[in-house]
Amino acid sequence: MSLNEDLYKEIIIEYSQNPKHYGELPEANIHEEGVNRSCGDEVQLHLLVKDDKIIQAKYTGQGCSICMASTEMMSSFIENQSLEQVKSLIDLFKNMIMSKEDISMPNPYEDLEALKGVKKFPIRVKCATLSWNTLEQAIKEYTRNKPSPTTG
Amino acid sequence: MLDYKKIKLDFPILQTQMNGKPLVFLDSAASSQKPQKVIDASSDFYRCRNANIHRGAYRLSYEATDLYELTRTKVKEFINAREPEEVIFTRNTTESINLIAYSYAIKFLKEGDEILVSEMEHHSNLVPWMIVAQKKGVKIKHIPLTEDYQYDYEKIPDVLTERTKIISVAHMSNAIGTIHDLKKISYYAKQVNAIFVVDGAQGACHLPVDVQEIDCDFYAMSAHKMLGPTGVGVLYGKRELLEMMDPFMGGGDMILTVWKDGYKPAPLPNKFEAGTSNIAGVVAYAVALDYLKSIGIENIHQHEVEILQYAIPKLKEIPFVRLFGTEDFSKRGGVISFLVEGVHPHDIGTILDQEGIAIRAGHHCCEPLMKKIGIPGTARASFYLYNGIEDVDALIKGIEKVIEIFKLKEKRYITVQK
Repeated sequence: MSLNEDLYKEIIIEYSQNPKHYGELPEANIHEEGVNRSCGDEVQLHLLVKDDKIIQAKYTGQGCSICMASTEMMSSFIENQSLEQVKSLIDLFKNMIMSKEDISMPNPYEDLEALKGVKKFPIRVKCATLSWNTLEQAIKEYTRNKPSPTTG
Repeated sequence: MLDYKKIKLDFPILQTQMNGKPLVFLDSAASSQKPQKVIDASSDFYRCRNANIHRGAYRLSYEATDLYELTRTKVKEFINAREPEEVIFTRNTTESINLIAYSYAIKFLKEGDEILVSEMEHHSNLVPWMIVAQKKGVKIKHIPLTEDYQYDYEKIPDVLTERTKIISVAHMSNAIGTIHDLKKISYYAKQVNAIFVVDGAQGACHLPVDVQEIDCDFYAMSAHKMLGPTGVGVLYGKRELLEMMDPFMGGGDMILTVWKDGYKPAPLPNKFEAGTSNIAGVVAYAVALDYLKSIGIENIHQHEVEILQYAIPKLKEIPFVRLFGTEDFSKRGGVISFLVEGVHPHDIGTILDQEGIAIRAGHHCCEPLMKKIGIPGTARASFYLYNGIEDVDALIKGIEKVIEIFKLKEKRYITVQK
């Protein structure tokens, strides 16, 4: 398999060309932007979070197919997940991309494994992780600004 | 066409491979490759001629000084300056333009004055003027562009005023290859007594330059884009202007005398060459100039136009390929900026990289132009004297590979763009 085929797996092309979560989300209560300064890729996440659960996820912005496929997959996997579940998915994903070892993704997240190809293209790692880092930042901000639960 | 196959043999890097494929180098607009002679000149200098210049009381030093100054004379001849003292060595075009901004514009421009540029300029011909604008309350105005991205010369009077103090434009656009008519711009600069600055980063390497004929006040260029080493730039300036200006940087070599609480700057050109410069680079630059001269700049430009004449019709036949830049090849240099519809330029760059083809992808330091066109960037192939038909054919095969990987023939694509 050529390196090009390692990186541009069919599933990546498929996700990047069929963005189901691309667009604005007027009801969103979290907006977070991430930019890769070196290549100009940019992603704006729009999330509707209720009771610490992501109800709906959408995104806008522009970037290469790796960045867009990664963002599209991420958006589809985090809907209807609690923030805690999402946080562990972020860790899982970043570990898969960053680790020297070959790490698999559990069901139902197997599609994300298609992004493993970036490991052979160090300069493209940031394309795959941009939206995930942005999501991590969004959750951090949200948790920090959330009023602490009152008792009684 | 030039005998590019023979020329290629002079460039050792062009005999190497990238990602297991013979290197097809199509990024000379970013930096050119170097012939063996230039590489040798640099290492020979370090091996047997190295000494600091302008001060040593020994043979090595004064011989090094002679070599350094010989390059100045060669640059003077190359661009037809009046005298070698009008040639200042800097690090690159960017530093040359900054030198004008800091030492001329900040000193002489006043609040309400205007600097005329265009939206097509490289960041290095925009940001220094923005810095001046912020510091001095100066306004930046833009030359209108035509639909095929030339300056709209007829509309220049609309943006020209008595307060226009500087006009600064590129000789040739690095992003889409338009060659600008400098004599027309010069005419307008004269009308309002504005200083005329030319960003020659893409000029002197591909086009004949005669600063007296252009009648520009400043011309900035980089050695590394014209077969020379990195870290060597040139600022040509008219003597009377250079004399009026304050030094850019202070330090050794730029002074005539220093006392407890003051200094007197050195005469030209040393006034603008503080500290030890890239001596080996300047010395090797002379060899690059000789090489270009032996081929002939006019011939190099003609060669690049012939590459365009071969490549553009072929590229137009490929579905999904979108081309930028004028099709009037008399006003264009060897730059092809393109997109494959539905594919991000970085993906094009990566796929071509795997085929051994080096192109550039992104905004090419021309964000305002990209924003004007409404795209995040382009893929850019740029050509020089060592490129030929085979390189264009490799590029076309590479683009076909992009189309295959992205399955553009099979399905409708959706462009995810702003």
